[in-house]
Amino acid sequence: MTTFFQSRRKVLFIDDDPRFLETMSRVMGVLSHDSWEIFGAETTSAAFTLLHEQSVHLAVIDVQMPVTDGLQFLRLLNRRYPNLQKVVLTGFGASETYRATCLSSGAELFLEKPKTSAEQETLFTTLNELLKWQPEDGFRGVLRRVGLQDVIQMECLGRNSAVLEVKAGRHQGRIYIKDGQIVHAAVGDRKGEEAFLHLLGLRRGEFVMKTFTEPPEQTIDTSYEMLLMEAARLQDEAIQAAGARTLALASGETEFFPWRSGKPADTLQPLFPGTPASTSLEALAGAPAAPATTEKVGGTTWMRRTLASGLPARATAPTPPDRTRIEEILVCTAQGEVLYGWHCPSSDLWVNFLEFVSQKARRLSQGFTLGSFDRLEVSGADAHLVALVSTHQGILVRSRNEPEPGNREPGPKLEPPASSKGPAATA
Amino acid sequence: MNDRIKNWLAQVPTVRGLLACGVRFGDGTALSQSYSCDCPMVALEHAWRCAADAFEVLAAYQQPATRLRWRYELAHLQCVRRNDGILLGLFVTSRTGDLDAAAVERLIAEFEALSDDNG
Repeated sequence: MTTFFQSRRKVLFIDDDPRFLETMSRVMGVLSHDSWEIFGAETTSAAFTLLHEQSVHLAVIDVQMPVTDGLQFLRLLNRRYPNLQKVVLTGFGASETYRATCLSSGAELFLEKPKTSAEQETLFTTLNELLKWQPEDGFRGVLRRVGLQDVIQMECLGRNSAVLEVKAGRHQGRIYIKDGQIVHAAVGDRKGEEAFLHLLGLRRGEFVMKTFTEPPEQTIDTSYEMLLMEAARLQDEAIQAAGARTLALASGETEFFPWRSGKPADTLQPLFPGTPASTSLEALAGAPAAPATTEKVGGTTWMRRTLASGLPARATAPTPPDRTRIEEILVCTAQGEVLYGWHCPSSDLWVNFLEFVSQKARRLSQGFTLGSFDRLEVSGADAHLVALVSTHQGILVRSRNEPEPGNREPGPKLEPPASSKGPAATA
Repeated sequence: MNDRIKNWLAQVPTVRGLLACGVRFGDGTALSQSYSCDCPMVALEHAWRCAADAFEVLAAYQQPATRLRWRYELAHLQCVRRNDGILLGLFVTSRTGDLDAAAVERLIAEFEALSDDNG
């Protein structure tokens, strides 16, 4: 039945009900004719430990575990293991919104828990089909790093016990969590809260979750909430200091956008269907008053252009047949750090969406010869959204058609050329 | 309604630059047609599911969409969703000169106009 697999597929079921895990192990083992190697984890920390030790192909997660926030776990899992296929199981009918939230958090499928043998067979068939679509390695889009804080919070909320080994260059430390409380941390000569805050302040590095062992001593008795809040405060201060330069650049009426090396501005790809190839963010934001200059920020060269008084210089432009108002612009790194936001109060939300697009674009192209992904264009009744995802960054632009030319508010506008008939429906 | 759409899909004419097309119904079942070896049938159903997920997620983000276009280097996937949740997916070449864009638009218009009066 499943002979197309060259090697045994490793499937991990994560559920706090040991009877369900035992049933799945037995039933799926029989149905797969042993072509699946089945693992079970009753806690999120056990799941992380197992995923660290095994190259699992598919994780089947009960997101409605009583203690653990399954959705948060799913997000963490997605960021830590973007190539791992994830299926969500629910015990009862969930809302459309909840289902969509799971899908946008990395779930490939959203299924009801099987109760009968027929449902178990259906589940097996569905999962087996999904296992044929294994993501290829080497892809990067917008995929946020899993924060150490996220994992610690997860473990503490779940009242779990685990040891987190943190490595960053010459720094190597450990954080001990026992029954949901941080009890000890050590790095180099540092111990206790000082070590904990130092480890959480590291900007680079990796961490591994290990099975709990008793710490050599207990050096922390402050609640994990207080410790995480203090770590977050210190991180905010560090980010503010690092971001001061970027903020200075972005102050006033200055527009930034990524500059593709070697390409003059007039060959930049259009952001919106229906706009000419010469249209880019500077056109979307209004007519520039000064020549553009370029500036290197991190690994990307950005174009800097000071705009006129905020209102596009449209007096000489012919009246277009329709107008589109830009409502939000977001630029972020591949790690989900926001580089630039314009009228973007929910930047976190849109970074999540860019994550979703980058993953979905990859999944979608499996089995086809499509070449590299460029962007997703979304058209609604009166709104548009463009999500550009590359290996280095994500850009999201949300716009809305203006119903009445006279009722527009000041701000960056997209003015399609007179020849445009609105959003192009085809390539 | 499904039968009507199935019949329509079966009669989709050859269009220059159209690589594959298919519909996905609200119950998750799908029908596909491929006109290019670059779009194997076995992968199409998977693609329609991914596209359907995107519509669902966008709705949750308060961005209800009627059309999506996934632009890749060599081909684009255009997706249209009707109010009844039935989705049409079209893989078309990204080379504009090789695509009969008007014919593709006509297909989309036909799909959107298919009424459900014949259940």
